[in-house]
Amino acid sequence: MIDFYASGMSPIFVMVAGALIIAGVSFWVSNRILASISIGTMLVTLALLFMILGNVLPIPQTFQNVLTEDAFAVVFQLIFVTVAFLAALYSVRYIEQDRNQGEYYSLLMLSVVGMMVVAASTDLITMFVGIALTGLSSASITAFRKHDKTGAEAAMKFYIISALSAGLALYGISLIYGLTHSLQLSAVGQALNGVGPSSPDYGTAILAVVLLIAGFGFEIAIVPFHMWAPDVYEGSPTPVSGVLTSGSKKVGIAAIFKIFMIALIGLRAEWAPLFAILAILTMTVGNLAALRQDNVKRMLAYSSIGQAGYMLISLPVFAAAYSAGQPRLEYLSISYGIFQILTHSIATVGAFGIVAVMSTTILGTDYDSFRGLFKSNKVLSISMTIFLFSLLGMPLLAGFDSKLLIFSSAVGGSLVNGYSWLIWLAIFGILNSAVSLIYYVRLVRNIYSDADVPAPAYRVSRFAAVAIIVAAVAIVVIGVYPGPVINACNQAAQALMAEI
Amino acid sequence: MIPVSYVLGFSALLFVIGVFGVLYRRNAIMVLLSIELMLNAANINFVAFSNTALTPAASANGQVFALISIAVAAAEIAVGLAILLVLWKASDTVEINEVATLRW
Repeated sequence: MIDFYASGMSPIFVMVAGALIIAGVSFWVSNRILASISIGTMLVTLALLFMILGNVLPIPQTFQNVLTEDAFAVVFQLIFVTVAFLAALYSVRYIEQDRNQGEYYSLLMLSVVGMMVVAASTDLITMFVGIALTGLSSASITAFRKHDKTGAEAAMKFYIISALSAGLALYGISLIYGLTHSLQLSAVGQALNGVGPSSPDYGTAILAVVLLIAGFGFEIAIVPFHMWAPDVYEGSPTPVSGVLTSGSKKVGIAAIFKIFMIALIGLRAEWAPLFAILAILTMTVGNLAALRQDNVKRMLAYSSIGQAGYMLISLPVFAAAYSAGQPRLEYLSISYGIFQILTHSIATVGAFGIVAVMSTTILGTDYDSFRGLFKSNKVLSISMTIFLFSLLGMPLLAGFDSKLLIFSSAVGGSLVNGYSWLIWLAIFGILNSAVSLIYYVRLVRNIYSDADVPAPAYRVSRFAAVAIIVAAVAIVVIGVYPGPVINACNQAAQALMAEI
Repeated sequence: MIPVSYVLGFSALLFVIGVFGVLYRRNAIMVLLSIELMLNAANINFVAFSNTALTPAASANGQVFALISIAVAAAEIAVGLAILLVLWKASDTVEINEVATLRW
């Protein structure tokens, strides 16, 4: 008999139970009760996760070599559940007029369960099932407004992309299984450690690496696999776009961290330059395309493509540190990647929240509708400014700390012999931050412009206000006092390295 | 017994057909079928490789993965067809070229 409280699985159990209860009772109870069950479940889950992180519940725990609830898993699960929690808070008003709200909350929570499973997985089967669960539930929730043409189109695109990425990744995994006859990440890592250009398995291993990068590249929307992302983020219900950008993108990155840093570490000389090129391409293309967008959701979509490029910097830096045998730089590179993921998730989900408040249509708002916002609503405009400046990397906000740290880790990695090209990652990162200034400031300037504004056509619900203020305060607090959060990220990185 | 390399050649062929189907077919149903081909190519690989494993446990790994991925593929098709049905109701077509309201 499992001692429920002591079990590190309890956050996942609670989320699944909540999702099923909502699906079960959705025919009888009012929408308000459905929303409160969903929000309450996520609060309980957050409390359990904080208890695990704070060592009140034992950590790490393993389950039959399939799942490990270690610091890495807990930090990622905290990010995912927080994001979904904030999104659920501002969904209440957003889907007020819609039917079938039970399915909305239930699918939202199930997609988070998939993400949590991926973060905790130590086995390729579990990881695959988690990714499939996330993909299927987010694709269904994208089509939540059934009569909306754009919503259905976005759902179709997202579904095809997630199924395609599952297919590519699955073939890559099958090749890895063929080489090692093992599906345990750490066992695969040991088996592939000696593979080099002269061994007979080399070609197959490279093919597997390419297929896995393509499969997860579609999931994360790294260039050149990014074409679907803006369409899908624009066409989904706005809170769902928030969860997709800050959740299901990050789940791909968590999976890439696990697969490449643990299972394919023997091939680091091959994948490190590949990821460096993809990172530079991703940040440049994402930021340049964001320049010419008028729709705020689309702009946020492109900016998050660009930000995914910054997160990928971790991988080549880790490879450099691992080759040089510098354990400090090793865990710092992972830790700063996780920190960047965390700050970006909070800022993006907050920004999408403001769009969701201002317009309950699928297409959201364009730049012009932010004109003069400061006159009509101080809270919304100040929070939006905080989110945008954090994405940009303004000092004293969380985004600055994370960008500074991740670029400096690239500089640290470039000191390693043979990896001096890592300096280009930092250079391109800083150049791209400068480019992103243009489109963020354009929106901020609109907010504070003096134009005559028509009276706002929206009401800010209490739940949405709470969500937005929580996110904004979190950005400022983490920006001013990042110590505890960076500590948690360091723990997470060390937990990941313990598996190698 | 058939040598593993033959089976691998067959599955690679299936996979390539699937990838080309996804890239070139314009009907969403055909795209779904092509994705199924890719998943099944991987399943064949798992079963073929499980034959060459040295221990029973290692060989079970591959077979279990094949079974699980068949279940996942079934779920995927169910969701996919439901989404295409919604798309059909909303815009009267499942040709990918014709549903293009979201453009930059």
